[in-house]
Amino acid sequence: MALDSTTSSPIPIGDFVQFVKQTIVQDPQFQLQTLKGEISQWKEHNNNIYFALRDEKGQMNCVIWNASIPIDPSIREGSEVIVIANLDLWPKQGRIQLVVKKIMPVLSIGELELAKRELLAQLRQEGALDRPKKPLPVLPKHVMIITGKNSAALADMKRLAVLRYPNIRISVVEVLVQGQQAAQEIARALAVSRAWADKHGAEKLGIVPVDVVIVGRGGGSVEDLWAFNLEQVARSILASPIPVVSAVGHESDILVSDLVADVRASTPSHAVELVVPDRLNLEQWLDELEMRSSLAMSRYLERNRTQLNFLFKRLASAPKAGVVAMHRQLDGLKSRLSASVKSSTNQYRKQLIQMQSTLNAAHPQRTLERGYAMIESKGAVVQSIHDIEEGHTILLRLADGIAHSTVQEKEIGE
Amino acid sequence: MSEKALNFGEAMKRLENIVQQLEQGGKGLEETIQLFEEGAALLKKCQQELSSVEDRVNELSLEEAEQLGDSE
Repeated sequence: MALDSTTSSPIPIGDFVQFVKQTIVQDPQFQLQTLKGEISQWKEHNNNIYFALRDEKGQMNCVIWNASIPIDPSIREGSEVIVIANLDLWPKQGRIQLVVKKIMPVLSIGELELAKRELLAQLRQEGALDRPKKPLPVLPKHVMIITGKNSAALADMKRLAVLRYPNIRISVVEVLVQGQQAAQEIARALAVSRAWADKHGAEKLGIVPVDVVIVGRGGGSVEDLWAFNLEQVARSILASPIPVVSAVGHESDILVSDLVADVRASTPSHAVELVVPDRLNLEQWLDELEMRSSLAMSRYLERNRTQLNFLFKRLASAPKAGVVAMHRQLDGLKSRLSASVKSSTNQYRKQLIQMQSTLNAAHPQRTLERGYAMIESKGAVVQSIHDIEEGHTILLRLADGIAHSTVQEKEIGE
Repeated sequence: MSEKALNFGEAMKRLENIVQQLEQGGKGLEETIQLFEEGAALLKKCQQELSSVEDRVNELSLEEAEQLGDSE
């Protein structure tokens, strides 16, 4: 059957191989693919590295030309690795192979633990683990939550936050919380939080500065949570000018993020409980303070009533000048009290009105009722004999009326 | 008093302190009224702040959040 078509001229195999090569190289499906497997037959030759990437279902030859890329020293025969590579064909041998552009070790749990321990030792040496922790704001004005998009953790946090404080302001920044990109995305989101925490930066954006950050995710396997053990995340938490709450759902192991954050929460919901105040609690607290201050004030007045009354009695028998001075002082106090009555809450208002009536009891009128008179001349209260001229008209103000009088003679005292 | 500069937590702390001073007593009328006035103003400020926080939960992708900053 194949021989039937021999009428058309056959393609030289070399041309065909070139054609296959072009097809492979131009197909994006075969270029810059991320692949995972185990290394076997690792060989270095003429500065090039040759190996096979294999797993239980198949294998392919790989080459790193001119040792042109950084290679983790832990990579060796048998290592699990991830490579980013282009498929290529070597025409001379008709051999298909992968040209490796990037190679990274897939760390085993043991290796991950080792890396974590090294990082912790380093951070401890820098003093990053026992730096002073930043306190959480009592009433945060703007909370940033960095977590996985559409995650159960996010739904829980939103529900709980709104329940505790219905009008809290929250910005959620959605990131990948597991996999290769997670650490980098978390670090980038923390960089956003730094920019938004800055007073001037926030002003430019027209937002209220962020004053606390929650970074976290729900529980998962040790590998799933691993981004929170990486240096990139730890460093960006340490760089934060505002308190950071590490909120990864897990029970056993403590993560590096827990140790470098200002506050560690055991779950995302726990973080919300720590960060978002219960509005009813705050209101209750304020009410209590209001009541206590009100009570203290009324006790104060009670305690001093006798003393005040005594003062007023002395005033009643004091010279006229004293009465006038007291009058002025009382006027001043009264206007201040009424100003604060206007600006205060109901409970205060009652208290202040009570106080005002106490002060009213000391009004000069009460003194006049005791049989004293106040002397006025030219519309002002007379305080000195020098303010009076012989022959002039003065007013004698009594409790229940005014007597217009004329000064017949004056005697100046010492 | 520079009440404007106080954040909510600081205002609460100052308020606690004022109430304690009022409760202890032993101060003159002038000073007592001054404390009382300051307390009243702080209470009002705190109560206003509780209700004035905006209700908004904003969800952004990482890219959106970053662009918001870059657009400046």
